[in-house]
Amino acid sequence: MEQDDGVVVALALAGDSDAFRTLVERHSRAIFRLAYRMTSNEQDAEDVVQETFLRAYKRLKQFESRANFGTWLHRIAVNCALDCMRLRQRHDTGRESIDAVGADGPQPLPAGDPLPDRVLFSAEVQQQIDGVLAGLSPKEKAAFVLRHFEGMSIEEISRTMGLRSEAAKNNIFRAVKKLRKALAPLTSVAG
Amino acid sequence: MKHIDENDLTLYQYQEPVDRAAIEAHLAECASCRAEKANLEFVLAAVDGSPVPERDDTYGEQVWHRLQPHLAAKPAPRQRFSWDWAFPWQRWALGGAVAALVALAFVAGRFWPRHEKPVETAISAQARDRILLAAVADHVERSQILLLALANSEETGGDRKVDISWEQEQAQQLVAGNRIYQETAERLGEPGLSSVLDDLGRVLLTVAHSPSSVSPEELDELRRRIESQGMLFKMQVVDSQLQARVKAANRRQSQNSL
Repeated sequence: MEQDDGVVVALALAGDSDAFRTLVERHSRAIFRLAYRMTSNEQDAEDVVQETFLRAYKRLKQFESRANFGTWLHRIAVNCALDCMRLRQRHDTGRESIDAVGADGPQPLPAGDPLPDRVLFSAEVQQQIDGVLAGLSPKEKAAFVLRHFEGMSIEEISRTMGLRSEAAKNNIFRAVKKLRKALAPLTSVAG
Repeated sequence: MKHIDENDLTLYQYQEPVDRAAIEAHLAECASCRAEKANLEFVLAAVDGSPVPERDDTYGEQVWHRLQPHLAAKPAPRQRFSWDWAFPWQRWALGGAVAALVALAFVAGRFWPRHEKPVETAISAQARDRILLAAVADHVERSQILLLALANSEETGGDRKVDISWEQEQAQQLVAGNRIYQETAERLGEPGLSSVLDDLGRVLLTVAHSPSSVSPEELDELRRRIESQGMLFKMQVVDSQLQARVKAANRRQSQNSL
């Protein structure tokens, strides 16, 4: 039977060298998914996974056994990813801004044209989504990813990101608005 | 008729606390809001389709093998910085230390009593200036990341404590280099840069001497002190000026080498 994370953490703190390995093997895929959703870059996501476990190892003594290890680890991963995104943002000066996407938007399909092939349409939608997600601010993206993909409540997101509840909410609203704005021409065709 | 607010619709869609009964009653009557809801559902469903690269069952093992050497090098949790970490800013730490030594050598070179017979130097004064500029730019960038990380520190565990040990360690490492850069800037007649580095030094010292775990109130106070000095803004201005100078110096270097 699989041991509870809390027990495994206690073993790791007691000096069992295999225990931390168990935690790494157990949570790596989930942390990678979260990291990739936030950074939209495979190599950055790998760096975030590594940094997350290094920070977790370093702070393991601070983990409280009554807390959920996965949640605690996610919190560390979110902060590692935010650091990484800020760094990336500073260096990625050539990236198209969300405002540029929002201003020009995707070219609307001419009225009366037949609906494009489903695959091409999906690719177009995906391209727009990728563009919007890449252009979100680190906080907007983190809040949206945690709400949409990780299913965290706004209260949990505000605790994880160290934001007030209203701020977490507003970051999600802004992300959703930008997505809707960028996809508006396509959704009107699909609708 | 008052339509449903877009944000309320988002909260409704995400099952967050909102007056669901009122929204559902309105949706039953309003075709326009039903269309809005359908549109929102389409957008959120489309986002669901965003692919994530697959990682197979052996991924955890792969991560462990990459991680293990770094953990082995760390004798215990809460130890000082490990130089072989994979993240860029940790590599910069090494770069920063080397840069600090270069700066020190640079200052020493300027003020050390000269031999009567000039000694051939391996690098030109122009190249030295370029290296120093790049080192200061790197130092400023690392300091900015530290301040941003501090602004985003999270509460851990249930004891309402915020762990800022990482930020504290970074500050401790940056303090010594900062003093050297500040003194160098002053001696080279760069009062603006010297003044910002002087302010930065005080902030770094405050962070370096803070407890590694603080209450949210203490953290707010720390953030207020940083904000009251406009530190992040000053750093951004200095950073962009330095980056421009580094680029110009690099351009000059490549023109000279042609």
